[in-house]
Amino acid sequence: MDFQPPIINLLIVAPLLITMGAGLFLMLLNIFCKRDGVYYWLTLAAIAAALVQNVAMWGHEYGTFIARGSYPMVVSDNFSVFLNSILLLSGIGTLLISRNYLHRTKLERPEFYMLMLFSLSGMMMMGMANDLILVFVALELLSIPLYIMAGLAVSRDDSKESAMKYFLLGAFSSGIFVYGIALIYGATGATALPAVYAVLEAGSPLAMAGTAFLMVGFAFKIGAVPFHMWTPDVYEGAPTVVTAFMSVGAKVAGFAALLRVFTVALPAMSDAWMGALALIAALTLIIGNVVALMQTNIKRMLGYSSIAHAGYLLIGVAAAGQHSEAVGSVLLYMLAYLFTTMGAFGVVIALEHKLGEGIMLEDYKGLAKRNPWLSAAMLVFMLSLTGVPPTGGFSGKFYIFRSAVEANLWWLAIIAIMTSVVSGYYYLRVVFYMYMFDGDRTEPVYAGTALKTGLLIALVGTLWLGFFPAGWFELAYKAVIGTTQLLAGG
Amino acid sequence: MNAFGLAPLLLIFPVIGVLFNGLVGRKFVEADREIGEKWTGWFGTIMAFSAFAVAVSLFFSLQANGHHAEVVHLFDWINIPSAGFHVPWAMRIDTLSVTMMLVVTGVGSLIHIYAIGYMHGDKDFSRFFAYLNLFLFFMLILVSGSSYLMLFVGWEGVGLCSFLLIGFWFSFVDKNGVWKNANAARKAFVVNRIGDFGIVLAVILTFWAFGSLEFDVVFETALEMFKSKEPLLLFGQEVAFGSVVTAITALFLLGATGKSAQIPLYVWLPDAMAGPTPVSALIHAATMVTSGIYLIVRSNTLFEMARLSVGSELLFGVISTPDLVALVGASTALLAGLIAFTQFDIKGVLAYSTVSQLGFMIAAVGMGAYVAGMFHLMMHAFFKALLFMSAGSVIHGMEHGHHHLHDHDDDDFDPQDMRTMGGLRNRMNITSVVYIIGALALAGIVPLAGFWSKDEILAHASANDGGIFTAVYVMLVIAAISTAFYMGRQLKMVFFGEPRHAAAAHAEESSNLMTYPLIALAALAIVGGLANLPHFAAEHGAEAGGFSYLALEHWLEHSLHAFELTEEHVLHMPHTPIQIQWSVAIISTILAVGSISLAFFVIYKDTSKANSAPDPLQKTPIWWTSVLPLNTLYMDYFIPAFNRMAKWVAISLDWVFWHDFVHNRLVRDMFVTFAAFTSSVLDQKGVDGIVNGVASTTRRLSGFLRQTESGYVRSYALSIFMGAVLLVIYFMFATAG
Amino acid sequence: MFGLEFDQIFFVLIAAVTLGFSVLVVTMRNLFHAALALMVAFLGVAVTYVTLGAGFLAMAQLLVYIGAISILIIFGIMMTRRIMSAEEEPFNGQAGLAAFTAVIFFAFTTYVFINYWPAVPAVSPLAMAPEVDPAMIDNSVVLLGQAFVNPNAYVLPFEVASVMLLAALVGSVFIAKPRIQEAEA
Repeated sequence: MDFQPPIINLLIVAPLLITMGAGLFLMLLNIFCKRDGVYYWLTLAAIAAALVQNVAMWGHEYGTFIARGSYPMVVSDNFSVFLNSILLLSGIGTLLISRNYLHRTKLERPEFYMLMLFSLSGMMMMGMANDLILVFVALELLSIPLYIMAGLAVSRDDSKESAMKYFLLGAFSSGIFVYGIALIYGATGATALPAVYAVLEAGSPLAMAGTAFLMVGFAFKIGAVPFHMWTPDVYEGAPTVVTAFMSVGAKVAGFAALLRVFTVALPAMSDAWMGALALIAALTLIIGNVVALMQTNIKRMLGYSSIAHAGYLLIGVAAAGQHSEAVGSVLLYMLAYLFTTMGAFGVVIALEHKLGEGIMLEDYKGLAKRNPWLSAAMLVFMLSLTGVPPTGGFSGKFYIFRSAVEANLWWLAIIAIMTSVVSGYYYLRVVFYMYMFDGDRTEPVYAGTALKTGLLIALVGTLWLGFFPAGWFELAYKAVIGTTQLLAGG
Repeated sequence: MNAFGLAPLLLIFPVIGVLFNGLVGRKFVEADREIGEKWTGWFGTIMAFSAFAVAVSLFFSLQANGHHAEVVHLFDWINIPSAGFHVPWAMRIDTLSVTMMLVVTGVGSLIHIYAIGYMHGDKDFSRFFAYLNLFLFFMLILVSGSSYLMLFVGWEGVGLCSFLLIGFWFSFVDKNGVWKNANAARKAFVVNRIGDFGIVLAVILTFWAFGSLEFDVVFETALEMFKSKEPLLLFGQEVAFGSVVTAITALFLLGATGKSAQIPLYVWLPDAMAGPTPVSALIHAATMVTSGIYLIVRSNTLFEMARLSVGSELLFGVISTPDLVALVGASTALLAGLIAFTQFDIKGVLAYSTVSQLGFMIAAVGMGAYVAGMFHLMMHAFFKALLFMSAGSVIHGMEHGHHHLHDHDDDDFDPQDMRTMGGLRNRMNITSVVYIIGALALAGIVPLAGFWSKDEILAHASANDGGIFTAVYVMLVIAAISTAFYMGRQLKMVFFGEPRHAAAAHAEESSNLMTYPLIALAALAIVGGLANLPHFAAEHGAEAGGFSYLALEHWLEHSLHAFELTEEHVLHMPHTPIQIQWSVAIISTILAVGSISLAFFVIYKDTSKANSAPDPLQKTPIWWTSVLPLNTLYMDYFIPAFNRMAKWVAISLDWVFWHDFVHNRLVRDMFVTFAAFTSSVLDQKGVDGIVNGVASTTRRLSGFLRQTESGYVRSYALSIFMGAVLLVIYFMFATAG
Repeated sequence: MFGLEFDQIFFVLIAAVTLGFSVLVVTMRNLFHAALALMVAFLGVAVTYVTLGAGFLAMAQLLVYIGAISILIIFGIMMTRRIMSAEEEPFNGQAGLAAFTAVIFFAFTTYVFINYWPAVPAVSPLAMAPEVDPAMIDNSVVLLGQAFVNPNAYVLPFEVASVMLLAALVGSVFIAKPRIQEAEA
């Protein structure tokens, strides 16, 4: 029998190799070099390089690690390129807003950068993995560094506590996720997504149970109800930069894998998972938005807000079960969410004068007087999170609602509209505190050059998406095609 | 020559004003109070005037263009080729939008000048002008947008500005320790959200039904569907066209009741008067609150189709949505008119009066009298802005007067309480003259502006037969009588008689910056009626003696397709009289004059103490004492009965029922309780709490263990586990089904 | 005896031991004892694997669960001394709900397995591995090892997993480091 060599093209995984390699290099460098600035700039450079390589792959469809007669283990298409760009941008954003923060809170350690690079690699792999086993490994690669990063402020109890909670619950949900993979394997004898698609019969109860457990794993990562309870605690306890990183990165990565696994491997059962996702989305929207009303801690409020946003994104995923264009609306929403959330956390970081202090709603009193630019930026971000035109948040919601309606999920669209009306209350309360109170705060506002750059990018991105979403949507729309062709062609 | 290319400037000028005042204005004012105020104030004002100039040039361009509408495309906003969904950012220049632009920028500019004087010395002087310009920007987007989505953007934007401006003095705490301004701002915002929800649904429904949001396309598609009488396909079900149009228009009505302060959502407007007076004049009298009327007039074809469509019967099979609009408007006009009787706050009277007058306009457009509604909208913008700003001038004067009396200072002094005023006509000459002009115009005294516009609405109501028209006519006539009465009462209390407080005796006239805009508006309130004079005799043509009658009607009908379609016998609008209805005009004039005089006689002449007087209506006028039986009748029956009715309306119905019960208790409390419940029970304690309640007696959980958090993690884990099981069950049943 | 084969009797015995110790795990008041009971339960599972002829799985069970996880748990208990001696109430208020959920979970999964487990997997996982000496076919450990490092099979997840473990290592060092410094100081 001839030996057929597998097809391996390392260029396709180059963005991953760059970030992973940079992480390993930083580990070695740690022996010689103790200057923190070096790590910052090297990480920034590595992420930028990965971004360039990533964008260069736009418009093509590649597969690599293709065993003979089998499916590629890793694929790169417009979908993954789009998502990886969002993830790498979130990495850059996190770095920019973390520069001064880590320094003044004495948290700047080389480990932060290494762990971030490793986690970023895992996140990117989530969207590129074409095999359930690789999805699981990627999930762990993204999670484990995040557990540790949440506990970065070792001296603080709440940070340790949040790391511990995140770890325990994360491990628990991973266990359920693996069980799901095992059940899918039991039903189909395959773990490669296209192979599962080819073998799977509609209505196999074993695969149904497997799908349910996969959904638990993803729903935990994206913070959907009822798997969301860790979110506010962890968001509150973790250092704010880490919160920012995981609120965008982990969520986007979770959605990336969710979309690919469910639309590529499991369309045979789309009726069932559409319904389940729609129910989860409705619950998530209602609980996330309503509970956020009561929060007085900004980080906790943003935690519930991120739960709520997962709800909006889930609408798009549920709709993707019916027509593939909905995936584009999810991608666009993620882009808007990236800019807006990064920006909002940037402002929170600027005000957090000491670790864990300056993050209450009270601390925003009279910010408009103290720092009009910062509060104007926060105003835009809050409006965007609410979904008021013309901001990115509005464009994102608009396309999501539209795809919901086209998928005949109009009841969900109505819940979403009503809850976003509710959300106006707690987002605008921040605005209310900033503009409508006289504050007596004298703590300094830490807005260094890096943070300002980050905020400016976030602001421009938010408004750009708000005023001219059409072009972005076309990009996002093209990013969908790769997934669907793969589905058809196997 | 046409100047449509200038249209974008209409939006750009206010934006420049916002940027200037928002970014650097504060520095100017901080650097040098005097010069800084001049710069920032006049900069904002000039931007408003420039926008006005653009609007005027657009007006002439339209005339040169034969009144044909023009759509100025700015850039693409949302584009989904696959769904054929395309929303450009475009401005629609037609006679209707230009009319609104002229009102918004014209009255707006005058109010800007006035505000320079009024806000003098305020610590946030530049912020105020930034907000005012921002408001102009959004209001112009609202009236110039070429699609429902643009309209919605403006709609939300003016809501935001209204919130910011009502709460402008957010840190003000009244003597009871209540955050009056901040609360009023929040109330306005929250109540308006309910209306906005209606608009969102209406816009979505419009898109589903007609496949576009562009005004032209929507109306044309709707017309074709209307003609073909075929059912639509919505969510895979066949729905009668009439039902769809009825639903859309009913949702528009819900939006209009929010923004234009109609029953049942009017409650925010009286509170909104806590804001600075220029804001009350600009936003809560002249412009923003009329956007509901604009929305209905803009959608006139849809409303007229709803009037006729089969299956459009909403209530008991007899009332279509336009009828409902008319009834809502008329009952608001009546109710608010009655409530205005009981107010002592000078701006409070005007606030309820605004609600009442908006009711007139809504009633007019509901009856199909679109031109009359717009006419009243313009005239009301003139005289109500005039009244509010004069009231501001009075308040200023009273504060000045109070300032002079440092020796016998009383902390309870309220410069807005009419009971402390009196005799101000001797102290504030200009203000009192323009105020009286405004009040007479509002009361509908011939030949001032308000007479013509109100008369046109009443004439329309009387000229049509049939159920609701008569009812609306009766309600509006009573509302008109009460209008005259409460304005007469106010004039008497404020300007006539003797001063009832030392502050009133020392009041001073306001600065020229404040009085000149008042004079300009007073002139408009006098001659404004010329814009749409009716024919006085049947044989008059459109032009007579070089003067054009019904000018506004001829101008606006280019934008009101319902007129055209009625002539083509596609639609059937109610009959609009083009001649003056002598009987209606004479009756309403007599009633207006009569009730003003009645107010003058009835309202008290107590000159000495003011605040102790419980209710001016209970004071016996001296004049009555000479006619004993009438006096007894008046004292024993009329006054108590009237008081009871007015109080019942004001307190029970309005305050207790609407404010306290429905809004506070039902809406707010339920909302808060639900939120608290979900927060504490469902989520925080969720799993833990439910089981703990059962087993807590047997549990020896110390405080220490609670803090180690293990308890919480396990309940989170249980939540995940239960979620997983529920999901599996769901999937199993999905398979089975 | 009762018409049962030897291996059936053996299975029943082992199952009884496993279940019995599992119950002990959740009912014992002393956490340390509970951990020891857990190890016995794990051992029972390993023996079950042996009776099913899955030698590798049994080894893995021994190594991973008894060798690593149980030891880890015991270390954890020992390091937090306060808890080691503490007598804990084995049931808290959540027990009823948790038991209920677990029973439903068990019922559903059992139902699915009994009724729907496919007789033969459609595609054998090891079919992807290269041709090997037929004598080795029985030796699943070898096949598994080859599948891990073969580019035609699972080399990528294997490598990624190694990076993941490295990250975990970095993390544990990071968490431990301040304590070490504290202890030295």
